[in-house]
Amino acid sequence: MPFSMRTIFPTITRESHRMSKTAVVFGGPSDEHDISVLTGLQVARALGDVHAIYWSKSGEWYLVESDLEAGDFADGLPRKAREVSFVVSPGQGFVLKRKPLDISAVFIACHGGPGEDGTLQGLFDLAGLRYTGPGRAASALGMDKLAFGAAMASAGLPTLPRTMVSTGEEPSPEFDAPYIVKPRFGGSSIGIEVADDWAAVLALKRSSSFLDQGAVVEPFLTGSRDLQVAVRTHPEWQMSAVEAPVRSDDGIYSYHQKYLAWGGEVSDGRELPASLEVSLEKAIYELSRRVTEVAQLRGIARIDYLEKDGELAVNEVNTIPGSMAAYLWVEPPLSRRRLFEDMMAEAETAPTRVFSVAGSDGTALRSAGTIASKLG
Amino acid sequence: MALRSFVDGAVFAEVFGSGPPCVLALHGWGRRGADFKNSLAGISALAPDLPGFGASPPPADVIGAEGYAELVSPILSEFDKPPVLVGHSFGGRISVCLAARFPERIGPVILTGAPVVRMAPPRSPKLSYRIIRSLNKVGIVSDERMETLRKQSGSADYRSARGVMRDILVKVVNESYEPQLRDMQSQVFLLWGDSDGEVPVSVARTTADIIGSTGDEPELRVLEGVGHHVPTEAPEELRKAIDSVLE
Repeated sequence: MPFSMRTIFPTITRESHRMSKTAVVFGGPSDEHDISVLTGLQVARALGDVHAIYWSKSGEWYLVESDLEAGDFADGLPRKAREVSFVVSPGQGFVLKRKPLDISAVFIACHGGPGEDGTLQGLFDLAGLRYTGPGRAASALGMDKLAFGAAMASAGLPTLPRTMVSTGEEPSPEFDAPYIVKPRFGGSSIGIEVADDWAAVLALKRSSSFLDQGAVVEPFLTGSRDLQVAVRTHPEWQMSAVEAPVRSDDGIYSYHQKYLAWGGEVSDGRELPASLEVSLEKAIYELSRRVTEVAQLRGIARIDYLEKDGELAVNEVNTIPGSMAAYLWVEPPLSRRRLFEDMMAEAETAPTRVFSVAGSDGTALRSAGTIASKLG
Repeated sequence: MALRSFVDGAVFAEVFGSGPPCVLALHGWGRRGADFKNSLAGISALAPDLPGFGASPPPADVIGAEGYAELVSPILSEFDKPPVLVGHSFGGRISVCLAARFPERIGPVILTGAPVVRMAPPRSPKLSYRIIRSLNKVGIVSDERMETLRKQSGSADYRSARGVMRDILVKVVNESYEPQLRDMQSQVFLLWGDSDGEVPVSVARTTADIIGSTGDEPELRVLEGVGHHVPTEAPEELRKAIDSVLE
C-alpha cells in the first residue's frame, strides 16, 4: 500500500513515536525495579508526551503507553508493549522495527542496579544519547559506599569511619560496636543489619547473599538522626528543605517502611522542613555544595547525613532517588513538572561525556612500521 | 538491639539488654526477631531470626518444627537459668517442641497465635487444580504453567516462600503437636487475639484442654480487638504476660 494515509502522514497518525521526544526509561534488572516503575510513571505523567521505555527485569526493552498505572506492571508486561532493541552506535540507540526512535534526551528513572550504577549511562554515552543525572563515573561512585566514603574523606568532608569486609575474616576495626553492616554496592535498605559484635559482622558477611560483593561497616551511632536533603544542579545549584525522618526503634528504615507502606518514599512522622538550628542548616548547605562538586552530582540527587549533637557526617548519596525526591522541594516550592523539565533541559544542553580523539591524528600509525616488527 | 551470631553463623539473634538473658522469643513465619522489639525493650533477652528468615540462612534440608527446635537448641546454653520461652505462631510450634524435648532447660512458655493443634482439616484443592496437577505430573502441563497456578491458589505465605522454605512451609502446616503438649513440664500461658483470623481462639482452647489433661490447665488471656500478630499489634500485653511469669 504505497499511497496509504499512513505513509503520507506517518507522524500524525499511528507513528507518533517517531517524533523527537523525551524518553523516560524505567524498571530494569534491579532489586528496586518496582520502585523504579513508580518513579518512571510519575515522571512520564508529569512531562506529558514522552516515549515511555520500560526495561524489564530480564533486561528487554519495551515501548509502552505513557499513561499506564503501576498495577499494569505488577504481573509482568503491560498491554500493548512493543519490544525495542538497543543499538550501540552513534545515531542509533533505541530502535523500533529497524528505525531508531527520535529521542531528544533520556530521563533515567531507574533505581539501583545497572540503571543507576553507571552501566546504563556508559551505554548511552556510547550511543550518543543525552540523559539526566550524573555520568557514568559519578553514577558508579554513588553506588559504591566504600569508594564514595573514601572520596568524601579525601576531600576533607566529615564522614564516619568506614571499613570493608570482603573475606569474612577481617580483624575488628578501631571503632567500637555496635556496627552497622551494609552491602558495599546498591542503594536500598535491603541487606542492612545492625551487629552487636564483630563476630556477628563476619558471620553476616559469610551468610548473607546481599553481602556477596562485599560489605562496608561503620559504627552504629546510637542517638544520632538522619537528615536528608535534595540538591539540583540546573538552572542553578539549589538545595531543598531538610527532612528529618523519625527512626524506627531498631534505628534504620526498613525497605517496607521506606517504600511500600506509604506508597511512596515518604515515611510516617517525618519532619519537613525539619526545624534545625540556623548554624546546622547552614553547615548542611555548605556541605551539600561540596558533596555536589566532589561526587559530580547532576540533575537531582539526595544526600543523607547523620547528625549527633550538632556534628554532621556525610553518610551516602542517592544519584537517582525514589520519586526523584520531588517531595523534598517544599522550600523553595517547586512542582514536579518544573523539576523534571529542568532536568531535561540540563540533559539536552550538554552530554555528560564527550569522547576525545585528540592526539590520535594518525602520526603514530604512519611511522609505526609493520606489526611484525613490533612483535620481534 | 543488635544482631549476634550463634551456632557458627547458622542463627542470628537480636540481643536485647546487656545482662544475662532471661527470655527467648521465637517469631512467626515470614517475620523476624525484631518483631519483639517493643515487648522486650529493657529486658535482657534473645530473639533469633529463625533459619530462613531475617539474617539467618535457610536450613539445608526440609525440616519441620522439631528440626527447627534442634537448630535453635544450642542457643539454650546462653542462659544461666531456664528462660521464659515466647513463641508466636510458627515460633509457637517450635517452642512446644523445644519445651517437650528439653523440659529441664525451659522455664514458663508463652504461646500466642500458635497453631500447635490441627485446625479444621485443610480443604482439598479444587477439582480443576487437581486435574491440572496430575497432567503436570505426567508432563502434559508445563512446570511453568503449574507454578503460575500454584501461585494463584496458594496462601500469601506459600506464594512468597522460595526454595526449601516452601517445602518447609508445606511440611509444617500439616504438623500437630499433641504428644509434645502432653510431655511439656513448663507452666504455659496462652495469649490470643480475639480477632485472630489465621489461628482462631478455638485453637487456644483446644491447646489448653490438651495441656490440662496431663498437667495444670494453662491460663488463657484473650485480647479484644487484636488479630494474629500479637507481638507487633499488642506488644504491651505480651510484655505484661512476660513480666507476670518472669517473677
